[in-house]
Amino acid sequence: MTTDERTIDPDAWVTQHGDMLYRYAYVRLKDHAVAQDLVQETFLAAMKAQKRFEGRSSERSWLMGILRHKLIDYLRKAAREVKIDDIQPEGFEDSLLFKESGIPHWRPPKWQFNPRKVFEQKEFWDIFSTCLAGLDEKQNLAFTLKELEGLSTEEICQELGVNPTYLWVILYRARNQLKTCLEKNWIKKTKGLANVAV
Amino acid sequence: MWRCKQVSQALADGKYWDLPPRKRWALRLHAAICPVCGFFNRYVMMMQDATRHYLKHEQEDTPPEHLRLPADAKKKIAATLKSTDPRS
Repeated sequence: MTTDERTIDPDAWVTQHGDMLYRYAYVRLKDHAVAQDLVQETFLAAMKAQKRFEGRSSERSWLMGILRHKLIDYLRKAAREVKIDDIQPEGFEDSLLFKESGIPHWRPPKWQFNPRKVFEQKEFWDIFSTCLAGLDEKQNLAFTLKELEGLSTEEICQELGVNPTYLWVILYRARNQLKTCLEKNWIKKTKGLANVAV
Repeated sequence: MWRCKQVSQALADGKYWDLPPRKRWALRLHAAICPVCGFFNRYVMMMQDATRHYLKHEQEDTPPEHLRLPADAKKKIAATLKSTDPRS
């Protein structure tokens, strides 16, 4: 049965999918009001387009797809307004090692636990989503566009007005901030303390 | 055999698990044994692996309490949908 063959119950729709859509938007936007607006716009767009939903994917996947398009449009606009001029590349792009090997001359910090061992635990991903939402604005934007939404380096550089090296620095810092947050909160969690701090 | 710069570039350009199996294997092998770029690129790969798993969980798991749509927002959105439902 396709969506257009049944009567949509808005209460049920919001109850069934509202939380998932909201988390998807909030983690990437860090703005409750905008996330709520995008969820509402997604439902409205889905109601208008319900005849086109053929049921090939789940209703949730279909809604997620609509939200993703709206979110990327929003992020593209936001990217043009974010100032990236305070990023300090710290001279690594001029270092001989970077030019020769394409890697920086500093070593990333070691993990305090093995993340692969906790990949199957839901609590770890709850912390992960909270830490993602806690990234600095520029880092969140770059990380979302690149790692979560899979836009190309060229597209992101164009939207952010930076060169690939600068984008690389932003992503490196985003990963470090994410890692620090994951470690802090996962260790706290395993010691039995609650509340995620970013 | 891949060179460090090629491995770093491949990881910077896109997610390594999107590479064809042979290329992915060669990249992993280089990162596993290279004393120059291995530590750094294994770190990048770990974060990309974690992100890939997160995206899967994001589609399936119920969000934690503080990342759920607030009750008042649910009511407001449901009311808006009802008022604009073409069937009503």
